[in-house]
Amino acid sequence: MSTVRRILARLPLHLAVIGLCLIWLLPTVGLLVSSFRPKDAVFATGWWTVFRFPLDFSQFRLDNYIQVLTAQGLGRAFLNSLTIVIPSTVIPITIAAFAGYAFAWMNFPGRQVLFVIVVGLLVVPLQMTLIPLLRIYNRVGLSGTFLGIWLAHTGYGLPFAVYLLRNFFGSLPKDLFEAAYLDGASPLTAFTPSGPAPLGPVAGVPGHLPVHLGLERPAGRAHLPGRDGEGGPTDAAPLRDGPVAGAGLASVDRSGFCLHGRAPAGLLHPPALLRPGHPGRVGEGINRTHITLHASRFTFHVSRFTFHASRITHHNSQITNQEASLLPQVPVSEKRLDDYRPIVGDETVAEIRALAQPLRGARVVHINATAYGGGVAEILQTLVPLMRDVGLDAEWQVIEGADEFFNVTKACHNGLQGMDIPFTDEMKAIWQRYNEANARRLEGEYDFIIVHDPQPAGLLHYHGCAGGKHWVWRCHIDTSQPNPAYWEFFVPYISQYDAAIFTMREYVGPGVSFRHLAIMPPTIDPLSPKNAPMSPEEARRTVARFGVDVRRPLIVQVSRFDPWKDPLGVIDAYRIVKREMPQVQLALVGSMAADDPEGWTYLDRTIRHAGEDWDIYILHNFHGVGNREVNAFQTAADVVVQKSLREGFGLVVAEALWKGKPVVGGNAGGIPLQVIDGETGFLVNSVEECAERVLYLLRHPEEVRRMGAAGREHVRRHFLTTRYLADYLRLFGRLSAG
Amino acid sequence: VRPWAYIGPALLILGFYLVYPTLNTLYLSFLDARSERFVGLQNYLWTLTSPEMHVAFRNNLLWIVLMTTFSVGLGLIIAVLVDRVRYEPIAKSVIFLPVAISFVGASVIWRFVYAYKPANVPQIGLLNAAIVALGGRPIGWLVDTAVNNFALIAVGVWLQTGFCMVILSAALKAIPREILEAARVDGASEWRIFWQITVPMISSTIAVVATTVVINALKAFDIVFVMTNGTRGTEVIANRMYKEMFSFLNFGRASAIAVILLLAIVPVMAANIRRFQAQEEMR
Repeated sequence: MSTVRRILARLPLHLAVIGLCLIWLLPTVGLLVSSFRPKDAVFATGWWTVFRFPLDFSQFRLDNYIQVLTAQGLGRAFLNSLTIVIPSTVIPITIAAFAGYAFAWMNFPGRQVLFVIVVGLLVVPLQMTLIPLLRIYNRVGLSGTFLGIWLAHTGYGLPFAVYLLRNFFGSLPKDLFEAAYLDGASPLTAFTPSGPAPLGPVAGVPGHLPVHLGLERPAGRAHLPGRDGEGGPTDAAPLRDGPVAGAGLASVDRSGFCLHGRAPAGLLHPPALLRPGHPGRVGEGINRTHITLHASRFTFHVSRFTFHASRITHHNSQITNQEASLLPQVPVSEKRLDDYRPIVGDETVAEIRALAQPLRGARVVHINATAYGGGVAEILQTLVPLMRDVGLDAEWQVIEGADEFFNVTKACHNGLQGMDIPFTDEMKAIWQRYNEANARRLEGEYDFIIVHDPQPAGLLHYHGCAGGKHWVWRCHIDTSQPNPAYWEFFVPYISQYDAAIFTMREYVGPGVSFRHLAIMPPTIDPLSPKNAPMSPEEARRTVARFGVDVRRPLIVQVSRFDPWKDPLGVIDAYRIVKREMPQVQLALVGSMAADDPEGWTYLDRTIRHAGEDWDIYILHNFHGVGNREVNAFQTAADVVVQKSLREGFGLVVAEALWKGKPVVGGNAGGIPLQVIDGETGFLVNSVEECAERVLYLLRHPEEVRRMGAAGREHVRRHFLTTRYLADYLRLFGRLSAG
Repeated sequence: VRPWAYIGPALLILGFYLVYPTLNTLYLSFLDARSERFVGLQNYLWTLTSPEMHVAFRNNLLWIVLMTTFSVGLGLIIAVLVDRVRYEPIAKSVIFLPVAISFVGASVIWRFVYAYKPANVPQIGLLNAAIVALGGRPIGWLVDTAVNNFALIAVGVWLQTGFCMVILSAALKAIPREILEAARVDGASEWRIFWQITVPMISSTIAVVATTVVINALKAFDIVFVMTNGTRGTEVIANRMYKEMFSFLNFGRASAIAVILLLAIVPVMAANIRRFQAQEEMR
């Protein structure tokens, strides 16, 4: 009886302990159970439902484990983890034990102050230390070495270890040490043999620290789709020997065994690890992708940083010797007009050859501000080789400048498009100084000098027209409503040119007239990876990698995330469509630049607007969306939307039309030139109209086919590179004729 | 000389890994976004006045109060309770488990707890399933601004309690048995023993643990970064700093936030110093 009573008396205690343990364990058990379930089941029902039929083993699978364990690089990752963890635990504890002992039991000047500083370092946000450390690491060759990682763990773990151990040593009874001294022990022996014994329970704790410092985060040596081609440098990757497990888990997916860049829409962007109910993530290494993303974004930033640093030194050295050197030439690949023959037809090719005939041997130079990134560079990469192929002596040079110059030109770019920003005398002076310096570096005799955009617009003024027979200013931006401060400054420079080329007639700014004015809408290169033919199968496979269900209808908009592209409106339209057609999906695909805070903010807004809707996919270059992927989305789409409220030319519409997709486009900018209402797509002015047109197309596949074919033909006639080439040749002919 | 040989290595490494970057940060905090121009206190002014930062300050305060109270409180309760059962090692391992799980793992785990599906669909998140089973409506734990901060802090408590429990348990074991026995013989209730003997005797350890948790709460980053990235009113100081630094490349502001974060801990440190001095006077 008394034993029963004793057990009963202790029952609440047992219940409390076991209850707490269960609460603590439950989330982890959920993970364990889920890891054995097929992914469809994971996202269809709660993990606890398996316990309804606990003996039904058919509901468990080993697939997930097999997939993870056979993944290449995982063994290496675990080995690396081990190599990092052991020294990163032993070194800081050893060093901290000595220091903690000294702080607790030795008297020396400045002890209190030093201790406060050491503990105060606990609060240093580690993220702040990474960049200065990385710079030093790169200089002394520690980056990418295990030693570097061990020492970093040591440094980051020490404050806490010292703090904990000092407190522990301090609370030991004094007699313990006095007894040891009486027995003839030196402070060192008093420290060592007696130290570790009482230390036992405490010493293990700081050892866990490295795990939490998140130091491994920047692991994966992700290749970065840096927009400006500056993503590459891997000196930011901590480990030459590959990834570490844990964070390194992140980099496994780069080796291709699991999902790539799965990032649907939802509230919790970018990391969104806890995004509920997202199919396909758990079985296949759930958060790897996101971690990689972040790792890569982080590495990206760091490498961007080093890139900037190197660019600055580069520019500094350039300014010093720039007086002597010529403008750098941009190497271009070889391209042949004949390769376009199957696409554009013999007639067009023959026409171009005829236009080029009288111009054979003419010396042409294109001058712009950058060799990569941006539409202008993209066009020149195709145009210059094609000009060569038809017999012109064409080349491409870029002007140079330090960041101060490009800051000013960025302002000019925005100002000329109408943005209300100041234009100070200092800015003007910078622009003039660099234009003058670059003009001095332009040498040689040319028949045609084509200066692109406002950055180098002053070249003619400072160079004098001596070196070129015909100077052409090619304006790629919309100057129809310029900020007067900028326009008035630029007009004297640009009106000196013999000819000007604008994208659309409406883009020509007020009160300026040119001797020759040419209008050349931009074009797409049908042979570039963005527009090269892709089999529907490959497109579906690529799109499926991002989680899109290829069996269900898909609406796609490819655009930056900014208010003028109205991604929020697209989402609203999609919601209207979804009411009628619940299975529809939406993909918003764009590119992000690290130096564009507004872009990131607006991306966040878009994601928030999307909410927890797993049929909305918001993807960008940090998810690994590059040219091929954009191509795939356009190819796999059922309807492409470009619901811009304000647009430049909107060449992305031509890209979609080229893939045989009708486009529902906003009635803005150059879109009406490409979308012929009712022929190649629909022009819309509101969310409701957009939804209605999209729904119409989704319900009438034969109309999609008809308009798609018409759209492709429209692009083939008006918006392919060959047309651009012909335009230039015509302009050159006009100029030569006087 | 001997003390310096003992603390020398620690100081050297700390100087390189933490002191130098901190001074660098202090310097950068007075420069502009690209660290080119001196801007005086402009970055600090922004840090202290911008609405985004106010949200972050409020949330960090929540983190400090709630995470510290619950982690230390629960840690102490569990440490005391498990001290009395034979399966203590197992129970302690279970509670300590989250400490050993990296946050990457933890976030996956908590995804299965907070998962949200609309009301008419079967819930796959533990919490919402329980709520629906009890006849309630599912809650978007990470989305609903009324609860999302608490949901995030709960994860923090889950992660930190094990750490508190282990250290407090070690301190409990160090209390001489005789004292407790004597109290029991004198007829003191367990409740009284806990408050009048146990707590005072381990107070220094409680203070250490609480300090650590407060500091962790101030630096709260991983959980927020991974789960919400500070959207929907869950921003915290450290995440804001990370954004300024790595998303917006505004080194000046990021550095100013870091310095403010450092300053925020001064009162906690001051309390600690006083306690250490007291400890030394006692011996």
